[in-house]
Amino acid sequence: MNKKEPAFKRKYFLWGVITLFLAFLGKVFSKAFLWLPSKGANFDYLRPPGASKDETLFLLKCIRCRACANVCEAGCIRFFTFLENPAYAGTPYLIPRIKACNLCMNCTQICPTGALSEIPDVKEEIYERVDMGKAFVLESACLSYNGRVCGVCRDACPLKDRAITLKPVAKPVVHEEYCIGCGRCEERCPQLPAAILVRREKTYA
Amino acid sequence: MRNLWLIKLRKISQTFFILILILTPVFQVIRVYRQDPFPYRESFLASNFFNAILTEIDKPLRNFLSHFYDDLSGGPYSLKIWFLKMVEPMSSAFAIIRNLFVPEYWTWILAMSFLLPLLIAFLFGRIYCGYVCPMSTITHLHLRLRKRFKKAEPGYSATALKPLSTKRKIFISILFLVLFMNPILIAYILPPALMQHSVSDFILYGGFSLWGLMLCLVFIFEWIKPAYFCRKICPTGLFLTFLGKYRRFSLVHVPHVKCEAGCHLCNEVCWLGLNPKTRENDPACDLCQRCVMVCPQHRLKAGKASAILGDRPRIAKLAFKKGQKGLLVLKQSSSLTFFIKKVRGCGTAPSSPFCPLSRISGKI
Repeated sequence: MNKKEPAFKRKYFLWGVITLFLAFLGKVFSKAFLWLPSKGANFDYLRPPGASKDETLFLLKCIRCRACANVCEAGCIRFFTFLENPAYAGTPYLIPRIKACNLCMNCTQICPTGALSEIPDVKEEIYERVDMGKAFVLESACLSYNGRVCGVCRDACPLKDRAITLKPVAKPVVHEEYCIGCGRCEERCPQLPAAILVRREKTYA
Repeated sequence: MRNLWLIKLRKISQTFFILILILTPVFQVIRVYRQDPFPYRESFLASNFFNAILTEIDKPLRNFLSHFYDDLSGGPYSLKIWFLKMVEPMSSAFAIIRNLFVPEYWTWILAMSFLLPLLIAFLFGRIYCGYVCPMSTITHLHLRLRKRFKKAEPGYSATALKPLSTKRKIFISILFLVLFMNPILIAYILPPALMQHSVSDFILYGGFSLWGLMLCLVFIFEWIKPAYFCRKICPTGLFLTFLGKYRRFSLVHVPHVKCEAGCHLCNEVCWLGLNPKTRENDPACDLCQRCVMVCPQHRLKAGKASAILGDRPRIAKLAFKKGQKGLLVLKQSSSLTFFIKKVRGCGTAPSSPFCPLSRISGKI
């Protein structure tokens, strides 16, 4: 009877070695299997709050379960389709001009994989940790910079007078150290196209 | 006695998972309606009719159902009930093993949704397929309809599961490697993911996507070859079958009960094409209890696997002391012979002196 034990141990040791080897292979090759063009899509998008800045990391973490869209209070979360980019298919994004984030933090609390890191629904935590993008003003298109008085973006901002302040007369100025990139200013901007944009990277202006 | 409570449990859980498949996107529409009546513009639920109904019933809904749809979301691929969050076992397993060297990727939810099904698979085997996966529900429905209208049993039943051929081994290893390396493809193959995605696509965003197309392909394949997908292709099923080799709780033949002559109702009824008449403790069995229900002699029973007694001589000795003959009726089922062949190096012959099984049976 006692002779059986070493055989068992050898077997499990082998399985452990195989698992470790697979994990190593997965770490090395899973990035190669993601077909990553330089740009995710031919339009600008934001990731939901809590997503890592590195797109590859996000794609590796996300298992495309769509739990985030099923709890989103604002209904702003959309998904990439296979035709837009097969590597990005099924991952969540939002376009702030269509529908901006509500900062309810439901998606970060439900995400099972940690692709959206968990953020509690507390004001201070949200202001500290959410970083979806940065807003910036297109001064040539903005109403206030062109002789009128607007200030809608400042009223829409959840961090009123911190992320967006008005200098006379009603000219919006974005302070990047406070901006969390929820996109409400872009959603409410009366200009067409929007004069204040929220992007992950500064591509215009 | 037949285990009727297991059958009830199976039916309840199957209907529950089919229901949440459809209900959670509708809940999502209702939840969002409070903020904005038209968030999902293309959805057929965002019609004036639906909104008119919602304006009427929004307050009572808020009062009675708010806790319910705060606490229930997702589907069979990723589910959240109250505080409990679960992901489909194989995708979570792959995600964990892939990110083994990056501990910051780990979440306790992923780990639990990997370990809990692992534990369940070691105890009950392939129970996920029979009780949770909506594909099995649809397969059952299909088989019943086939029986009702075509008056034909599926052709594959009453045949023993063959050992893996080299072709199938190569197919399985390639499938698993590709799915393991690629974090995308798994959501396009697993039926729970396909169903959850296509239903939520249809209800929230008002259209069909590639997931819907894949689901249609799976259903067409299902129509041509009933239950072939669940038996041979589905990677989660293969994964759980592989783990189910070492299960403790399975289908058992009640000792000293003989079959009626020529009866093979259990083999006919088995939707996975197994052979419960002669093979107890099959790793592919999902404990759906159909054969147990059908058996006229009450010979089949779901219980502790008696074949494991060969690996656990202490229990066998205890049973011998107590004089429970039933526990000592040992049969050489597939897993045990596999084990003996591989590990002990002795053949199937029970008279071999190196075989622990023969020692116990020799005492009898």
